[in-house]
Amino acid sequence: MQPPPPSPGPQALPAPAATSADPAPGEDGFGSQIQQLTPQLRAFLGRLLRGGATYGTSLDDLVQETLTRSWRSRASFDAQRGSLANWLLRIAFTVYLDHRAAPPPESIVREAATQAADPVAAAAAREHLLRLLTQLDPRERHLLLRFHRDGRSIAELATETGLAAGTVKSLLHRARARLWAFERRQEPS
Amino acid sequence: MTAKLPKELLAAFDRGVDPLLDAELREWLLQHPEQLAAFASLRAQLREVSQLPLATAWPAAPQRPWLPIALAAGLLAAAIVLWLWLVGMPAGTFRAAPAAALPRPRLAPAAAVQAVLVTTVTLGPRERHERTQRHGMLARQAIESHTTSSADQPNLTFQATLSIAKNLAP
Repeated sequence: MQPPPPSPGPQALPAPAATSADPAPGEDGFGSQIQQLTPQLRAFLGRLLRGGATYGTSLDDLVQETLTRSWRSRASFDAQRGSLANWLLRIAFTVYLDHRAAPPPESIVREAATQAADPVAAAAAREHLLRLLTQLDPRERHLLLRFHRDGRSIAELATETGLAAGTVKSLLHRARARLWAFERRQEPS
Repeated sequence: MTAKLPKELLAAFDRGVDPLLDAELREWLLQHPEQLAAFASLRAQLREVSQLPLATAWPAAPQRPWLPIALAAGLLAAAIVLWLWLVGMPAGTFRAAPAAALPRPRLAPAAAVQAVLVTTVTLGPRERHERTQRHGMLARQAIESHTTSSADQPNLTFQATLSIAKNLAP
């Protein structure tokens, strides 16, 4: 991996103190642009939460904190270095990582676990996933389900299917790469 | 911007661990924010797969629906070629012009034989009889000649020719 030249992370930036030079909210259009990106931000953070242990973190909390940090760090945004959407997602990712690093007390986790998730969003995500799975090759789909759902190892799958372990791994990589490509195709430009 | 799934992410998934537990991968994702949305989707989907009540079975053979059709077509073509080779093609079937058609005996093998010429000669004390038959695919000809020889009579020769041509129309 060849990372590009390091850029100052949103978290590393000191929160700019409110001065008279600061534009008022919405004065420079920053606020309205962020507002337009909020649905994308919510979807991104929602996927991050669904993808791992939530530690009782609320999606609304993450969105709120991301918006707060982005507002404080707005002076660091440079349109020459990337889009505002990517800059915002990067801040959101940092916020999510911070919450993972410092899980809340057990009582809060238990309380959050009892809260029902959004059933509509969950159903939509599941339907979307099913649609993507149908586009995979049957062998890739089978291996993906056996590995990620049934918890089989690559060696076990190789024995089960009569394929070489390298072939199993290769088919799994291809299945994931296709899911990855599907998602990238659907990203807003 | 690359659309390719990084090898390090794949390796983490292969190990069955959350890629975000790897500090190097976290840093890589921070340096590539354009990959974040797709990564979050993929990670969520691979986790949600575990809740799918989807029946799955290893396909017995690679799906090649064209294979039986191609095999059947190949066998059929081979059978047609073999049959044509054994019985011979009908006259003029694949010929461009009737003039190119050459006579061929009915029972001759479909090789280079174009016609069979049979000549039978019968010799008597005072005569000679010759019968020539030409059997071709498109024409049949019979020529009979008879010659008498006698010391006291002049030689007498007669000849009869019969030619039959098949329909040469295209």
